[in-house]
Amino acid sequence: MERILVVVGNTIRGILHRRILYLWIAGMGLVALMALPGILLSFGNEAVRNVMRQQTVVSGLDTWSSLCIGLAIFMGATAIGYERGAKTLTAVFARPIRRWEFLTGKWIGVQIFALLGLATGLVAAVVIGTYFGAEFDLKILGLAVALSAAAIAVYSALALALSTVTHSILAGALTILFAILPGFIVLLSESPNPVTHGAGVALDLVVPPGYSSHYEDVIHASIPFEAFMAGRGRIDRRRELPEFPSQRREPDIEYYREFGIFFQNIAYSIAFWALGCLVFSSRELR
Amino acid sequence: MKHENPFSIYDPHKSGGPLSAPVIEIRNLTKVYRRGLRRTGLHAVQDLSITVKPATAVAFVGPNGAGKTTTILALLGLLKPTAGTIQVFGTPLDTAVLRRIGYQPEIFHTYPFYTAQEALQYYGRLTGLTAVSLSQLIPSLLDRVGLADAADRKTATFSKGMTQRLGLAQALLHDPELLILDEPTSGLDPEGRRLVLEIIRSEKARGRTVFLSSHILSDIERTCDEVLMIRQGQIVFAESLSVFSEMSAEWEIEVLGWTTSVKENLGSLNFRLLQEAQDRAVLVCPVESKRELLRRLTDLPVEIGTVQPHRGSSLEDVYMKHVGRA
Repeated sequence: MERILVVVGNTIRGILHRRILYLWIAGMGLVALMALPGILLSFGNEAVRNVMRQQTVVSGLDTWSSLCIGLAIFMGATAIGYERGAKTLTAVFARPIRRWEFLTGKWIGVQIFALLGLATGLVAAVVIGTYFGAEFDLKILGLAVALSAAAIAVYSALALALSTVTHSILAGALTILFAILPGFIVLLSESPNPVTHGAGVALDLVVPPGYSSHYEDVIHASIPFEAFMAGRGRIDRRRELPEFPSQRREPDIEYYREFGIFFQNIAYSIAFWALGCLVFSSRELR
Repeated sequence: MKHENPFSIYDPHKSGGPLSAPVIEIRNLTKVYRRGLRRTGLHAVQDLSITVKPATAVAFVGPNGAGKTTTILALLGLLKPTAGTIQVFGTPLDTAVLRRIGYQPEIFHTYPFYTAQEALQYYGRLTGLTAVSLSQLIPSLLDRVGLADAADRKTATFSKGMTQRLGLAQALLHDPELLILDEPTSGLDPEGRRLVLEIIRSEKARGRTVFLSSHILSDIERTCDEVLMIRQGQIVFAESLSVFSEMSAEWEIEVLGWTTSVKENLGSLNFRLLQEAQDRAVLVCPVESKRELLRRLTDLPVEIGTVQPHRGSSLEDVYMKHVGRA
């Protein structure tokens, strides 16, 4: 355990050294740029403006979560490649450290960094959202964060495992392919063509269920059309108001299914990690 | 200066004693690198057998591409032998054995974001040393390799020589029983080279075993007990270095103004001609004949040039004979 923790520390130092923090800051800037119009624009009505701002915040959180997953893929794919390129592995493995301990330390380090990023975004979103009067559904927020964390775990494990056998760029590209495949797998497995169907079924076994975001459901508020219309002065007071959806519409989430995806992703991440350890242990180092 | 490591994990009683089994025992090692789609084989090492006794310094010599580094990497478990067996301290390699080995790579690559001190902390903790013991060990070790002033400098700013010294420091960090040094003096200035050779000698004097791969034959002559020469993946010469020093029981005398009549005048004396060219000759005589030969030469119309011990067959001669491409 001691050696794993030492490698975790080394991984985080390595990540900081490789200016990944700049990527992180650039991601924050991107999210801020995307959110600014929604926060600053006025629609002439305070209620509408508040809802728009709240929705912008959760939308930013959604983007930020995806960026953190992307960052985890990048860090996972480059963790071993960086060491291989810098030729630092020989001096490390001439010491009594097992390959699986090293890979585990790398994986944990990458996850800690990505999860810290996610946590930072989450705290920022909750603080800003609360300031704009948002009421967060903590149950959905918990689910959304758990699904993001599981996606970080599974994709960083896959990228790390692939990087033990191939170049970092290829490892990253293959992991991204795995991340976008679930959408196609449904199409393939529903195909009447037996070959396509078979391919879909086979891929379904290998490819993890992937990431589905629920950040947009964290705030139930929808645009208050009634207030919007009133604010713009377009309402015809003589006519009966049409029925608008409630401002606190409960989203339709199948928790059982979503937690199933969460546990599947965790199981896949452990499988990818184990496979990576197995392959890395049999690799020769020069 | 005696360098004792109070945090040594070396326990001769626990390990069966330093003078028990051979420290390194390689039997019929073959390593074939397979390349390309057709998996064409390149024999880096072929049927190589080595035995290294405890508390000796063994030099591993050979030209580039002879298989030295391949053998060392196989010894450390970083490469898998195609055939043959490797035992270190009498057992196959595992993490317990690696704990007793210190390895300095030919070119030591470390993390540029660490200072020298932090790098040694990292390697030490990977070996199982505690942070507290390392914080006491590291300053004296850095001082020993001449890096005390650079303890807090980032390794990215180190020169090649400084990096090599740090590589030696990390190899010595856990006070290993076996030191495997791959070209430890490469890239070092004369002062650094001398320091490294002194460290090797002091480690040997402390009963540690040193396996030294080097091209610099004078370094080997100054530090090692035995020499193994490798060529094209095979051991072509293995001998104790004491053989070379024993051969210097003769003397060389350079004679200027050498003629046939001078040669005839010396006819009855015990000497042989090593070189003869126009008016110059180099004579070799046993130590007991040296005085008489010199006395006789002073009576003749010749000048006496260099008088020095004769090295019948130097390490370089042997190297050129067995390994040299000429």
